[in-house]
Amino acid sequence: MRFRKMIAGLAASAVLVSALSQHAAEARGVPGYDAAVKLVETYYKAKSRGIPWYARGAVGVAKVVSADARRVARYGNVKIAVFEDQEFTPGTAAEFGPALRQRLAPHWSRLLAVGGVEDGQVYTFVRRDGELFKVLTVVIEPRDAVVVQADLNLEEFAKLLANPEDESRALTRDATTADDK
Amino acid sequence: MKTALRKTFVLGCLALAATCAGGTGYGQQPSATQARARVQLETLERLAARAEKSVDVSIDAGVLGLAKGVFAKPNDEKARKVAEAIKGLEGVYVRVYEFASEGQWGESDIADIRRQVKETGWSNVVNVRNRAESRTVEVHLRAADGKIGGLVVLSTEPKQLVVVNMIGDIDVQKLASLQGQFGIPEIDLRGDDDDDKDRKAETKPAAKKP
Repeated sequence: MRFRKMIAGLAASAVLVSALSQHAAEARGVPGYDAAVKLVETYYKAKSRGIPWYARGAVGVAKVVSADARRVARYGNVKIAVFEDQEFTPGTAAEFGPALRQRLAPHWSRLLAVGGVEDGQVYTFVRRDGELFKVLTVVIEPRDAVVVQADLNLEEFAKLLANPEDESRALTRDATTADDK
Repeated sequence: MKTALRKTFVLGCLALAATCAGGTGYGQQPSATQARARVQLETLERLAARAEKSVDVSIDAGVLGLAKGVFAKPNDEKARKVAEAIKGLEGVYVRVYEFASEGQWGESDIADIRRQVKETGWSNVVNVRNRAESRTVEVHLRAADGKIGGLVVLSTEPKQLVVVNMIGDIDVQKLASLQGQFGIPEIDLRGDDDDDKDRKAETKPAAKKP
């Protein structure tokens, strides 16, 4: 009798563990940074340069500087793709924005969409990941584009919600420009 | 053996609870209040093509739920005020369109918004008109079961259009603290009369700030 109960208990646990594994597997399959980069590449027929966080100095786009430690503290697990000196026709914003949203749905919530003649396009999507908040920002300007995905802590996430446009731009700026300090 | 089974059962229950908890949040269904006070803003999207700049901020119940925890900091006065103001909020949707010149947008572009806020349950509670600047601000409230279910702020200028739709039980007294938060722009609520007051005030010496 005890043995049966034990088997039943183990079987129940196995089912739950399986369910949790499926949940985790789904989470692994959530479209995000890669999907956004791919869309920019296919939509605008552009080529990106992925820049590992600690190796940016080598590619000349952005230098690794002392302030990086501070940035890592602000944004964790950063992925960056930079598209430099290529053609991004601003007139296609009406199609690109919805296409990006469709690629990331339903896992990501769109927080911000900016379209501007001078300011370019900015798209920011957010998603909860345990204690962290994942943020995916795509900035498209007439000659350049950047895709950034980062993990934010509560404090940084609060800043993003309070001022979505400025903080989204700050995120891409911090991730791709050098600090002269 | 019983202890082992009990442990297995407890662990199983915890795992099940964790799985269930993982399924809530972003996948939340809109409440009845939210469904009633949510104004469809899709017709505005065509303005983006004509605008020099368009900003679309959408904070749904899931994201806002996260924000409530974030802003409830006991030591930060400003954050506490925001937390108070958003206590009953279920969603914030902001659309801002800035145009290079006048005549880029017309009443027909916002006709659908006006139609929605004229439906039963909505009341126009604030109307500000500033003829000198051709500027108007309207606030429409939707009340449900003795509580505010949501509001729409419609601010128009010849070269700018702002629509803010907030959903949930909103404390109108604390709305001002939300300007500048969640992408909500500063909205000038001074009308013609207020401008007159301002002009009179300009002749008086400025009061000392504390």
